[in-house]
Amino acid sequence: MSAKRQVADFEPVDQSDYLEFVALGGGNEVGRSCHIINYRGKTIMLDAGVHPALNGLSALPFYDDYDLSTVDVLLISHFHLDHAASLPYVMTHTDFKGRVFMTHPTKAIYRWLLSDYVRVSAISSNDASTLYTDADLNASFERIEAIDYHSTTEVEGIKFTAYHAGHVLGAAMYFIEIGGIKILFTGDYSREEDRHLNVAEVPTERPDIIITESTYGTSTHQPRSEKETRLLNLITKTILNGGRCLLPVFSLGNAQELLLILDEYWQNHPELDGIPVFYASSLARKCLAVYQTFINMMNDSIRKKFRDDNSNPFQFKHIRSLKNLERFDDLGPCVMVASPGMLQNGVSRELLERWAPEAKNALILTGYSVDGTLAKQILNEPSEFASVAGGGIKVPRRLYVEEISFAAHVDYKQNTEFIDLVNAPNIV
Amino acid sequence: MFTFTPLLGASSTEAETLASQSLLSFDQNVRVLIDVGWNDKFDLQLLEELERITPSIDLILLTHATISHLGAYVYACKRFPGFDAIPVYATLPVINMGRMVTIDAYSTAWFTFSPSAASSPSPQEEPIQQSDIDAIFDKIHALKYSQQLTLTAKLSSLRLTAHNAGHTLGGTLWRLQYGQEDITYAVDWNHAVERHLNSSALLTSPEQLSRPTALICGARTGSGIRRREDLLLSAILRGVERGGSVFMPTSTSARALELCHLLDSIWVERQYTVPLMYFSRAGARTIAYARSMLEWMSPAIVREWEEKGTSPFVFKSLKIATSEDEIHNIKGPKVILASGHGLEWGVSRELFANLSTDPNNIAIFTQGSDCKSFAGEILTLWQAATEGIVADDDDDDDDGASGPKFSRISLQRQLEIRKSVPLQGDELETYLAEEKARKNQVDRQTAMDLKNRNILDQPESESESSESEEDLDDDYGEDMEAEKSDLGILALTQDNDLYDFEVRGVKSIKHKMFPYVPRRIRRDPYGEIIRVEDYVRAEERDEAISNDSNDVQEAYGTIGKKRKWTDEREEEKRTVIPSKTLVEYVDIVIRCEITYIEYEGLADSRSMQMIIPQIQPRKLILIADTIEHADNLAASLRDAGIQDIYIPTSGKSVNASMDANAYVVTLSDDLAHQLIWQDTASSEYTVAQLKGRLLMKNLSNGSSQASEQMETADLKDVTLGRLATRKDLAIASAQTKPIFVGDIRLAELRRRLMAEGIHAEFKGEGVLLCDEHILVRKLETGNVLIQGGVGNKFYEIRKIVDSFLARIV
Repeated sequence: MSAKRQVADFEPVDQSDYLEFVALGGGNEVGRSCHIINYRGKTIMLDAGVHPALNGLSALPFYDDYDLSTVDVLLISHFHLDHAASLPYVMTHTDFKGRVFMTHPTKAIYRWLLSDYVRVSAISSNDASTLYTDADLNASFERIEAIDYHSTTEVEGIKFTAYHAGHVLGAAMYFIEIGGIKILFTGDYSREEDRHLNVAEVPTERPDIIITESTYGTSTHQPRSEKETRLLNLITKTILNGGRCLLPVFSLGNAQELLLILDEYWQNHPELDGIPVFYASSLARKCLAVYQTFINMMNDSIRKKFRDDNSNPFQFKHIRSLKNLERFDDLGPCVMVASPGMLQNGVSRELLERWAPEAKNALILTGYSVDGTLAKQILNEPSEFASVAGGGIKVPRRLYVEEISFAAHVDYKQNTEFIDLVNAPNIV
Repeated sequence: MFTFTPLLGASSTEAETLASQSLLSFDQNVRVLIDVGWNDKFDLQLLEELERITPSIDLILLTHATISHLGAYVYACKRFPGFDAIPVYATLPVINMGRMVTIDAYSTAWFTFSPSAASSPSPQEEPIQQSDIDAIFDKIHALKYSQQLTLTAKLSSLRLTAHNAGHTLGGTLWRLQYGQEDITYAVDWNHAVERHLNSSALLTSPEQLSRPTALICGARTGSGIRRREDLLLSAILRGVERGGSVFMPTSTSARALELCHLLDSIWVERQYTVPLMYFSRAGARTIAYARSMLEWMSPAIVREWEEKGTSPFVFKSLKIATSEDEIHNIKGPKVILASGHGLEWGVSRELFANLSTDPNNIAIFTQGSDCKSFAGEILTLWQAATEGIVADDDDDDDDGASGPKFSRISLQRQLEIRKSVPLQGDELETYLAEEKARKNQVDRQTAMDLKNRNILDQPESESESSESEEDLDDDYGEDMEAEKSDLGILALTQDNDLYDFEVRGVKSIKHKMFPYVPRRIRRDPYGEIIRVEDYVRAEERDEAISNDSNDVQEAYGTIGKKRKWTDEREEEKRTVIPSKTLVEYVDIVIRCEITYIEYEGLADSRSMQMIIPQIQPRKLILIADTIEHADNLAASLRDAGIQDIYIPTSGKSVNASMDANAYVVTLSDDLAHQLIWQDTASSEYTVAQLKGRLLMKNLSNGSSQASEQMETADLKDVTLGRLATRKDLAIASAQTKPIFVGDIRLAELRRRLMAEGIHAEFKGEGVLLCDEHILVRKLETGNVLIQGGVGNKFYEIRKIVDSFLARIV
């Protein structure tokens, strides 16, 4: 089941000096990331995710295959569900005794995100086998230790340092040093500078082993500026035609980036002043406070903005938050950024069903769509799709559908470039 | 070789100044300046020494965001040649808050007001603008606590680490490692956790800072009184109940944040309605910065934020005032925290002059000041007045804390108040006119530069000579014209913001038509040079063009903007209000009550006496206090076992280098492969035994076997090579008794003995009785003694004990 590999350390000084790398999840798939490194009797666990498309215990990484009580340190790279969501389970329902570390923003957002996850999974799964409850979440939350970028922490002979990874706020690459062996675990990272995040840094020291992601494998992205122009042109065109734009997003990461782009565009184009921009995601609203706080962990351009304007770039001037759909007067053109990103249910789905029959409206998908979700289906431009209300109701689709991916993952080219830069002799 | 020279802030007979500047030099090679402090009065003579040594400084480190730690930094950058080129490191909060405190303090400092600045603005005397301060602080390299830093070139052998110091947000203890030397610089630190600050790393992670070869420690201590919040509150209430205002001079950010947070939460909790204000020119920005740096604060603050969902520095009761009007608009009693604790800079001086004349008011000082500053003067008088007075005994003093002492002092002074006043009426007009003239000048200059650059851009050899001559003529003529009317008609071709141009008065024929400048085709050996912009796709165009022509845009932008003159003027008024500086003289008689409640956030001397011996510095250097105080502290620390204590005076160097003959030994590869590692019972470390021959590494020929491994070019490095000759072997085999390495935990041993079927029980401290006959005793020195009758059991037990230890034959 789990991919078990042994990587021979270069020039083993001693026969016992093997470094063991075990992928409990996320080895050959996207989601439920969880890896274990064992070297010289020290065990480090990297990430504790769930599989986004599965429910209950089956979504977990294969924890039964490993004795979690031996784990000394658990490092969480960022707050996405596929990297952090099984953490409360590990901390409260297994015999895990180690210490848990993540960056400050990750910790702050993680709490909101997981309580949301608990709520959603409690609703969606019919059996009572939810992985953990809010109480578990709170109990585990107290035990998580927050660290800062670049600060080196030492736990029983394991030294680790977090570096900026891009991807989302708080995402970290861990540079780990055990007994003279240096390992770089990248987690998900991004090498393309966007509105608010740093690009993944190249550590100053050269690691012996690099463990890296390959979500996009060998495909490559379109240049960012082109995507932005394409997005904004499309939005402008739709609005000028009197249509409405729906941008389904994941509440965190992408959403903030999109909002920054839109806010800036509206700022530069006073003629758009009359057109409202909304974001409808309670989670995004809550986490905006986190974004406003951790400005210092973002890239230079946004920090400069913060310094010069004396106002927080995340206090949007042209974008309003929408608490619920009842309060929304659907009159005339507007731009709506709504969650969830894959149109499973919730606000974005409801709006889609409302707007789909009109040809002048547009749907712009900005994230990664998993097979089996409506987001993936609708990309094939079907003439109708099933309503979430059930009962075989079909909604006709006439609106314009376009995919412009702003996923903050590295593509093949960037990944190889980065690996070259880091220049490690071993790659996992 | 390490020498320490306090430039300022060393121990002296009387605490002349709190400003701190220290120079650490290693091997006479690397010189590190820690702190660029200044006193509250900004005395120039204090900086003379600094100016003299500026060229020799390699690195600057900053510790706290207060005037006494970085006040002179910006001034030195502007005035001392070469100072701004020195690399500087500080933590992020120190940079941000340092910026704030500098802006706040310099806005009322004397050099902003120096009369010469107005009459003859020589480059040396050019006033320091806010933008200068911003730019200078932008250049500081930000560090995190315990961030590993790699320096380059000359500094590569120096390792720097910042650790939390408490006292102020981002306050830093610097640990410097240079070869054998391991120096901790700890001036102003706090062992206690405060509302928004963690306690110093000296306490929280002593393992990282323990056993430095030298500890440089500030001897200035807090009073260590407990319940100072209550004292502060009772003092405030006393003033408010009487219908007076309470005035608290404080720093711009450092200690003010703590006070703001404290008072705000008290106000909210007890629902006080008396207006509470924090008054500073940089107040709003300071608090905005504080909100964005929660990760530097104590876990309590972060928890507060997580639970409430609003930032702890979004105050509910406290108002932030940035101008006097906001203060004066509120009538009646109020509580004001004002920046400038020395009453020399910041807004506190003027406010104090206003408020101190009312006998109902109370001024509460929370920080000590230079005795030369106005606040220092007041406090000296206060001290004299309160000597012998027993404090109002309204509370039970079981811990020696006395209530606040109040006193009225008689002091009549003429105060010089400096402030900047926005320009009005005629003055504003004049200023704007001057500005405009200056701007035009600059515009013309940039336009000319641009033209010259365009000319230079043309590869002379390629273009035909006649054409180029003509060109030059043209350009020359136009240059003349540019003198007259900026760029002349050619401006039309160069900027798209200009549409009309007066042609009626123009004489030259050439200008009767819309100008057209044919673009010359440039060639290089590979053919025509391609303009990338011409070939981009539509989606890319915006980006590519804006990238490409950014610099050009900047230069041209100024020309285009001239048409929008009215907008610009408005903008200017909004952003930088042109202001003039006024010096007023006010006679004041202090009638209000004065009290001093220490709220500095420094470790008190008792804690210092506890903590410093735990860190076990080999050498200790005490600075930053009166000699008397430092002597007392030194005496008590000597009792605690620290022998080498130095108390230098300003400008005097101390040699505090490590004199041990320790060497860094590198193992050669083939030797390392032979090692057999043994675990010790506690598995804290592993031990391997090895015999080898020491080879002095020869740097010049580089042929030595292990030279590839060596990175540092230090002559002291020694390589352990393989035993090569018979002689070596003979020497090596002359061995003594086996040595056992490791630390036995008796509890662990007992478990093992029990497992082997031997009954074992504890008899008192460190004694294990095995099978009623044999004692295993752990001595204080760490040795283990096995006592008992010789027999099978004895050897059995000894074998088990041995198995816990690594054995070296």
